[in-house]
Amino acid sequence: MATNFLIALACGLGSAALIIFVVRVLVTIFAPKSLKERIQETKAPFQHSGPGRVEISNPSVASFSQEVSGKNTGIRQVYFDSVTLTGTGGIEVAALLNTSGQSSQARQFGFISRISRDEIQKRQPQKEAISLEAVLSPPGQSRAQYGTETVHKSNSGVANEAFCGSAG
Amino acid sequence: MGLYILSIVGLPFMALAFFAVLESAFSSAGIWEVISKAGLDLCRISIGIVGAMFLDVQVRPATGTIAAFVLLLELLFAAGAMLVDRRATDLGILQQSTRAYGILAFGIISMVIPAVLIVLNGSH
Repeated sequence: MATNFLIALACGLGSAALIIFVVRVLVTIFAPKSLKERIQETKAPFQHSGPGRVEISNPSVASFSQEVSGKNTGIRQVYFDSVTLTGTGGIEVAALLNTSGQSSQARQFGFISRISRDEIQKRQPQKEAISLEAVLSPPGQSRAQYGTETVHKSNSGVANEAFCGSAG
Repeated sequence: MGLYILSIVGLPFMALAFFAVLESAFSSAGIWEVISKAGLDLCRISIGIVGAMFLDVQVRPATGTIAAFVLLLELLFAAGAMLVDRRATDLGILQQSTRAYGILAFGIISMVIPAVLIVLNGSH
């Protein structure tokens, strides 16, 4: 029994060694350069799509972003110039950032920055329109031409009737 | 005995060569990736062999216990091969050849285990 076991074990290990030896000889003959190949890192480096404008209006989201970017998360460099998070709550963004591993977090950061740039582009004309109104009209006035329009007096001859109303 | 040796040495090697040549022919993977995949295939084949082996191999005292032990041993070898495949750099393996040979060794040894059992206990 023991002899059979030793014979079987020797045959098995010998066959394993023989197969590996044959493979090594074949590789040495046909592809000698491949013996020196080193294992490549499979992790794809994070590529930032470019700096964007960032506005963090929600303080809880801002603190969460600082907390995440402050950790050693494996992200090489994350630039946050601005993030606009209109319509997205802090809990939703936290869940978005917390769903997967580090590389997916990096992708999600990029996703957020892309969203923010689109959002900023959408909001840009609206901001300009609002700012024109705000500059030309003081608060409480609906007409931007106030002060430049000529106010005509009525025919009743009463001074300042247009502003004070008619006494009759 | 000659047939057993053929089944131990010849058939795994022929299967390995067959699948490696097919893989090399139909994919653009490098030689070490082909060998690594062949080693993992050997692990899977050995699990399949163990699944059907105990119909013929009768281990008298406790067949079920030994079958479970051998199956778990095969699974451990397959897990070891996957560990070397996935976490080679963490294990200090820097050369692709070392990783491929390690996986291949796991595969062949996992093939040897059922072969040794067959040689020891015979078959009906």
